Amino acid sequence: MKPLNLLALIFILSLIFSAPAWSFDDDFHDPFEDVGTAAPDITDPLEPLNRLSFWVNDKIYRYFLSPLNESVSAGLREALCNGLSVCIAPVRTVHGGMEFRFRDGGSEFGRLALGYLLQVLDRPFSDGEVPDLERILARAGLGTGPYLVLPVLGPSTVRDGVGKIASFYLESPVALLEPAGAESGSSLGDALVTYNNIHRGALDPYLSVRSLFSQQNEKENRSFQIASNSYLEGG
Amino acid sequence: MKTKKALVLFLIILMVALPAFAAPQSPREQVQTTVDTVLETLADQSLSAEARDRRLEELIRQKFDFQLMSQWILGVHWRRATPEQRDRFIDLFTELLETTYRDRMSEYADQYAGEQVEVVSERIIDNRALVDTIVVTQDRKRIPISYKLDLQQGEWRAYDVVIEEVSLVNTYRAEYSELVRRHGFEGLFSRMETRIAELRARK
Repeated sequence: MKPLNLLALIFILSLIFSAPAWSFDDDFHDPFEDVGTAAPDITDPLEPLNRLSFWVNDKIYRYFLSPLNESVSAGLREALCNGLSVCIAPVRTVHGGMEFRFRDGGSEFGRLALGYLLQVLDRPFSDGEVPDLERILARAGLGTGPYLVLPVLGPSTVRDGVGKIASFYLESPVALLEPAGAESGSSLGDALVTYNNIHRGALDPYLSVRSLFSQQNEKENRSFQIASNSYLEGG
Repeated sequence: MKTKKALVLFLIILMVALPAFAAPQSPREQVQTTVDTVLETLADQSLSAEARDRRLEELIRQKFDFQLMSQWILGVHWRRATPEQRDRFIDLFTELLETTYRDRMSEYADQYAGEQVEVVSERIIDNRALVDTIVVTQDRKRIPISYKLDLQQGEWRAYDVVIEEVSLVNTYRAEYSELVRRHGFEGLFSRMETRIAELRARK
């Protein structure tokens, strides 16, 4: 199956399976429930497939990346990352050019093209905002869709997974190798430590990582909404 | 950097481990005292590793409200559970939490590098309180950590810790509630016992 066909299939599945996988309706009262992200509903109709990807990723993280991270010097790690970046330099250049114009707010062509595609013409991007595909899809009003564990790339949602796959071809894959639960922007080493700690304490690491991802995703969406509203209001 | 991350996690667990005081304290004061106690324990070179770990373990057991945490973690299943199931869950959860973090304590206590903790604010609603703190790492990174406390018999005890808006209890809740839904209480208890045995075998 071609990658685009696969993405289309995932999108269709996301529309079909829209019921939440779990919900909590107990009456435990927490006056500070607004502090911290409540466990949001996230659908997981692809759980069998996700668990398979999770199992593969777990082995990669624990038996390949972790030992690599511990045994390879920082200098060599940087060299490996740079090597990977050089290998995909042509597509990065194209993407970098587009990104630059977006950031400047001057690329009518780029914005029109993507806007036409996604019907988000009415909202220009703010300065400094990197218009990754996840954000563009979110701005287009698409929900996150079901939970999705991508091979190698880790936990995501269908919507963000599409953006992640696209980014994978446009940016350094190394930057995307962050297990869920790790802070965005953290190094691979930090992310692996976090992941190993999660794994050590969890009864079912898949469920634990899904919960962490869900909270982290909700937090980022909330921050994005606040920033977006502030921008649109001229703040 | 790994060290700092690890230390932050370590502090998260330990900052609620304040010994009981005869005089009632405000939540903010209690957390501040906790922080000071933990930092002093970490910096005390005269303590052996065993003595230090034992002291920290005792503090944790005193200051976590395991019953309230259990109630929240099980959610709707708590109401359906029999008193025996509730008691068994509280016992297993307490043991699992202690076992999980015991080896981390030893690991992280050796890496303490003088990070600072600022207690910035408190809010009190009835018998619940929220205390916001900031952990300042050596490279001046500021990590917000909030503690939710419950007042019981004149003492504030923690029932949740929120790190950068991610809740410890919510994370357990999503996992454990799902396990009860799928496998029943016995399935959950069986997994908890297995994990405790595995963690003990690692020592």
